[in-house]
Amino acid sequence: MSVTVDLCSRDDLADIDALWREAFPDDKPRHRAEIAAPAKLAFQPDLFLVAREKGRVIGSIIAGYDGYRGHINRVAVLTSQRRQGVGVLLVREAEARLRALGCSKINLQIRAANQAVISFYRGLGYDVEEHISMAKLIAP
Amino acid sequence: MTARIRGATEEDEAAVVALWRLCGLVAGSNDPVRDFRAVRAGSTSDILVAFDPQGVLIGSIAVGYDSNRGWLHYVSVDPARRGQGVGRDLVSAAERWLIARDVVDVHLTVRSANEAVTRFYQAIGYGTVPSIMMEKVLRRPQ
Repeated sequence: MSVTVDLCSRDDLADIDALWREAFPDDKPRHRAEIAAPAKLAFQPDLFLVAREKGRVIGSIIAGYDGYRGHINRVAVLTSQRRQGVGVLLVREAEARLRALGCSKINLQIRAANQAVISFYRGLGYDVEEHISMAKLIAP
Repeated sequence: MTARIRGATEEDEAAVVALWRLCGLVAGSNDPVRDFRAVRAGSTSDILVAFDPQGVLIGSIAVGYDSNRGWLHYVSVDPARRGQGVGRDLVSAAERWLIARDVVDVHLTVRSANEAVTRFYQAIGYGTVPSIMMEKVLRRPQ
């Protein structure tokens, strides 16, 4: 399998939608591809990456940099293409791009129901931190 | 007391870093001087500082966003000036900073050892998110 990691483009949005529907079936509307993908292409688009095999999108990652910490979201690989190192390629490229922006630490949030991915990230050098995450919607 | 809040300037660096140390926020691999400079220099982040009427620095907050998610870091109030609404005013100012940039979703993390502070955030509208946080320190390019 020959996989390349590229920037996401507008032409990939249909593939991204299909990928995220499979990987994140419980997405809130504001996280769905039709809203979140064009928004990311408009903001730090160089941190929106896709994995391709023969031109077809088989994986995605969205990294973000808030000026202090790097964040990784939307790490998805088509079910049929898993366990072949595609996720590792995506995370490594996102890390390299965050590092080049001056980012010194990446935080990532895993849903409590998704414990299985902890070992994937441990293998890439991430450690679980004893933190409590809090959030607020401030839409006017 | 109403604190006066504005964006931090270069001249605030020493006082802000001293406040972060006083509040116990400098731990592990954190380099507060580097953080102060990087957050101020970023196009999607800033540091806000609060002063009392005598012009003494009594609080600070780092605010930034990646895509549609805003983040608060280094939320700090001089321990001798707590309980007077300074922290609430700083968070509120950071939220206005984010709203002005169309960011609608604000996140922060609290160290588990510092659980008492979650009550402060709950009182101003934050809820806990059932998630696991993982972290990795990036080595700078050689």
